[in-house]
Amino acid sequence: MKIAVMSCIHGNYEALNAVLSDIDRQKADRIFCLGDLVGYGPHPNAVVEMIRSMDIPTVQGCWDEDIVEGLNACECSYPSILAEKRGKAAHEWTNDQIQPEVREYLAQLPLSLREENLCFVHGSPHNQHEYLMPEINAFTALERVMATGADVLFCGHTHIPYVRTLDAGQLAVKVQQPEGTSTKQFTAPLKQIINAGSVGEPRHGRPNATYVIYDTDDKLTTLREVEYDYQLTCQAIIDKGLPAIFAWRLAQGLEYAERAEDPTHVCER
Amino acid sequence: MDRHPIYLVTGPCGSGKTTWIHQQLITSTEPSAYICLGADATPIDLTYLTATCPHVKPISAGASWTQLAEIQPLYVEVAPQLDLASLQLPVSIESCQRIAIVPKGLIESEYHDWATQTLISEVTEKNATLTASPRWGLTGEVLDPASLNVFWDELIQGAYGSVARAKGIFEIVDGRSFYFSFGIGYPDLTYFELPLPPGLTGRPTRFSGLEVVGDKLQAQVIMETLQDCGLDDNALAYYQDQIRSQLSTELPAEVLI
Repeated sequence: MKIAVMSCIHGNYEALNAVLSDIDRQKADRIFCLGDLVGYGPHPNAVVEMIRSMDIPTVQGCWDEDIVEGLNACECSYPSILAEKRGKAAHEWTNDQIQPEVREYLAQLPLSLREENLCFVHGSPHNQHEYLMPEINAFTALERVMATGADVLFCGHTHIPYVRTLDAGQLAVKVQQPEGTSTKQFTAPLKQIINAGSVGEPRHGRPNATYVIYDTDDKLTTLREVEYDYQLTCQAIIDKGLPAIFAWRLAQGLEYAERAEDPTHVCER
Repeated sequence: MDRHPIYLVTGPCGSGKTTWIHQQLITSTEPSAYICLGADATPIDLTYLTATCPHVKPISAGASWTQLAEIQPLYVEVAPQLDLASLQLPVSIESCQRIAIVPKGLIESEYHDWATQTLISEVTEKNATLTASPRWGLTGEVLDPASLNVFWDELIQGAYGSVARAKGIFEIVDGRSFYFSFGIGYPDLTYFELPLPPGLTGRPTRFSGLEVVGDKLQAQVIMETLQDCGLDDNALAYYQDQIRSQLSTELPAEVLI
């Protein structure tokens, strides 16, 4: 079975449309979405309506959570004062625009989805705000996958797609106690972390949308990069009164806001 | 090159005048003097030169030509907005070396006609046609370093208009002062710390500011973004208190006494 996994649409309806068309061409059997449907982009309601109308299984992202519960994340969400001011401006705009039924939909989204040996989360199994960067140490990476009980962990949030294969699937834990040291070893089969990148807010230096196709039979992953008319989204950002710098950053293939300095930091609310 | 006691240096915006003067000053430790004719209240070049070359004496803008001639070697940077043809030089410094720093590809110009020596810089001729060089005084502003990095990257990549040259002096929250420099055709120098004493007691009174040479610059947006990078009074007081406490615990006991 071929599945398409996408993440971090961020109110970019043009990008979502282009990705859905590409998924159609790839003849994927199912689609999963890893959240962050809203935030920064100019079409939050339209994006949510599209996901709902297609009945795409979706987990809640950090931006979806912030729109539902209010902006009360710890300072990890904003690695700089400038990012904080821009992020809050985007949050305020989105919060004003979002329709009640859209907010209700975002509120009921699960934090994770499970499909046989596959697990789908936004940031990490522990928190929507945690970044699983490609260079994260092997112990942490393996722990995050094993915490789900799945073999393949799909995540987003970093906005950069990658596939990380953990083939040295063995954890050794030493416990030191007054009566002596005990060692426990865990052996795991091959594990993978697959990051779907970002549909609406890429950070790979080009404005193109990214998502992944995963074949559950041969376990092959294909990173897809889809061109679309990003200038339409840029114009909508300006027309709707969002900060113009968002349009410039989207056109450069930069995220609207920067990532947190400490990628393993877990938000403490 | 033979050393002359007085150098008048001119050239188009962003051609490398201050860079050339700095190259001369840094190779010597003898007392020297510097003044920029036509400079406004944002003395970025003066601050940069006197901070990095402590043997350089800054000359006030109101100094007379006679006073200027008393301190040698003297480097006089002539801002491009001054009319070279009407620049009246007193007899006492008429023998000075007139140096034009011009972009490669610029064959003829008023700078060539005026100079006794013409030096070719690495910047392109296109930049020579840029005359807009808005400046922003930032004295008293303390910036968040992470925000400053984002702003600077956006600035030099063209988020606020096309930039050919940008230089600035910025105060950051740990009390250090940084010089940022960018220019098309310049080496990949991005920023470095100025050797100035750290300021950890309230808002600094020493100069900081930004100058940008470019085209279609969004001056208002640049100013607003810089303000968004700044710390408010409460945050500044909090961080300065933290840093002072940290520094006091790091000092050896005999120093604390």
